[in-house]
Amino acid sequence: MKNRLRVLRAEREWSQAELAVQLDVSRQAVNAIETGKHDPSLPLAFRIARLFDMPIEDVFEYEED
Amino acid sequence: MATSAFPANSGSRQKRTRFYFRMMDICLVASVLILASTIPALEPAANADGTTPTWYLAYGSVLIFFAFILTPALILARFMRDEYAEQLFRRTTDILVYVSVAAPWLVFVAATLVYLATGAEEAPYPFSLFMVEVTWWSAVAQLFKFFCLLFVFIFQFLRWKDSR
Repeated sequence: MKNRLRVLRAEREWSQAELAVQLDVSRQAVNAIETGKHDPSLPLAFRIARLFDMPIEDVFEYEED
Repeated sequence: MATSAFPANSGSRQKRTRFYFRMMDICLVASVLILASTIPALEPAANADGTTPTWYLAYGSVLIFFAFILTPALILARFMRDEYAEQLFRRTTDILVYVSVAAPWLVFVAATLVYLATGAEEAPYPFSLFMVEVTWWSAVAQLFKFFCLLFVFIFQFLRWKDSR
């Protein structure tokens, strides 16, 4: 699943570690989400969307297989 | 700038997961050393009275701690893993299942090929290790040790692959 997490994080000048602290996940989790290696769970996806104050569909883009 | 809609959290899960990954890193180093200790050429010379050097016993005790206590604890410690670490865990166990099923067949095929190629009555090292008669407990302990080692290697490999 594509996402704009890296762009949104960069706009706020947050490091991966800082974002990880805000989301209460590991920095590796943030990196894996940004690189598409890990699709976040729904609760985490909603936390991310609320953190950036935008709809979840603006952060994550579902791709058909 | 967007602000969090949630109250500031203590980051406890994040800290636990970070600690979990650090422990896995240490277990990886220990696992490599444990594997190395199975190589006969790397065994230290015995004392004059034939006993194992004390330093080597202490060294082995530390490795046993990592192989039989810390690694199993990390495998069981679900509460220390965030969702990404949990996903790594599940991917690791998926691969472990396939390895566990394939490994005996691969060893059998490899040993058979070596036997056909050499015609030797006794299997060469390392296949000779599989011919040694041991007690049930010793076999269980060895399997448990290598299962834990494999878990660490696979987990860390997947983690490294994802970080690239």
